Amino acid sequence: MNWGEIKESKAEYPEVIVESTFEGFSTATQGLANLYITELEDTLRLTSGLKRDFQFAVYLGSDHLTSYSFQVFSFGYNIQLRPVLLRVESLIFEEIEGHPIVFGDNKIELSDDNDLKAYLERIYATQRFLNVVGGVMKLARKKKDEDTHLY
Amino acid sequence: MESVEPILDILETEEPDLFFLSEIEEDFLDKNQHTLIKIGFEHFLNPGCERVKIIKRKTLALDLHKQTRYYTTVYIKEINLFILSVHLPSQMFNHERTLREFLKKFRDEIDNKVGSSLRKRVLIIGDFNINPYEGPMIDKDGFLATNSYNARIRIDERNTYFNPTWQLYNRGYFPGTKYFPRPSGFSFDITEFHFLDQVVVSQKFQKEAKATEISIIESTMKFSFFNKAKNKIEQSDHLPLMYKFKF
Repeated sequence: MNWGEIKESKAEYPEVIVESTFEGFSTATQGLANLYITELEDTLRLTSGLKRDFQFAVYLGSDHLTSYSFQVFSFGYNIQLRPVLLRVESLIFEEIEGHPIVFGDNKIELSDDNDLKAYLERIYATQRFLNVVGGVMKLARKKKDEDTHLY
Repeated sequence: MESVEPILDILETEEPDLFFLSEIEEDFLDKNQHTLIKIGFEHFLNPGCERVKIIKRKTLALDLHKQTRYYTTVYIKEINLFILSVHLPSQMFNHERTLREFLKKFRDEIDNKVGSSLRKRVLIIGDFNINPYEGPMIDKDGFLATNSYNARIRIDERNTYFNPTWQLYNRGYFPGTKYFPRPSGFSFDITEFHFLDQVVVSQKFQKEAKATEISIIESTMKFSFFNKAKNKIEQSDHLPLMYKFKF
């Protein structure tokens, strides 16, 4: 059989696209909050609801609240790299959709990279997300001030 | 709840270290922060958890862990204890299968993020929106909470939690923390009194905790939360649940 030449996919890894949206977040939150990605493993893969070969979650955290975490969304994709399935925190999703949802229905699938970036921007613009970030910043500043006085 | 007075009275009467409230606005607690501080307590911010708010004793050191819409996780380093307080999805709007799936996922999150029931001290308290005897609470594909002190500690690969809430069925009246007679197509159709508010603990907690006591708060110095003559809950739509322990 003549295989000819098979070309490698030029699609960017979705987690690289997602991570690119974090740029500037720490500055915007005065270093009090950050966003980070972790890969989902073990039983978290089974219960994520994503059912994709590769699965990740994006969390809100803070260097000053070392054990705090809030999952903003999770995402997954199969070996073809596209489409990307997002599972968004339910209150954020309801705010974007404009109505309450049935439990488990907080998912959206996106094939286009620009659509993916645009949807992530919508997530970050929700009042729910901003309120949680604001709360984290308030707590982190208090902790930072307490630690500064200790030393 | 429109007035903060019943909350203050519970705090002054029972002197808890932690008090978790559901269906309460954060603004309401912030407005009353000065009053709370005067009696030695404070509203402890837990951004991310919409459905459960925290009041704590001012001197208690608390670390925030995972926060979600439906539950808040805190850690008390002094006694190496994780406490989760929950207000889970309602039976009114979710089928039994959905609740079962939710409880299994919740349990998996605890096992993954906090640790094994055998190795970590974990206490979970709050409105599970399900009774201790219902499938999603006891089954292997649900939360896997037993009512037995000497239960099998493992069902296949999963370790059980212990549910002391069953002990409250020894009350000879009002067997629940919530009364709901309206038919809903689920267990509410037959049973009208529900222990939706529960405590479950990990096996390590159960082994190591001393002087544990679960009870319902029926009255405080100034307020009645349960009218025995009328068999009716007062001040709120749920009876407050209390769990005491020490290490």
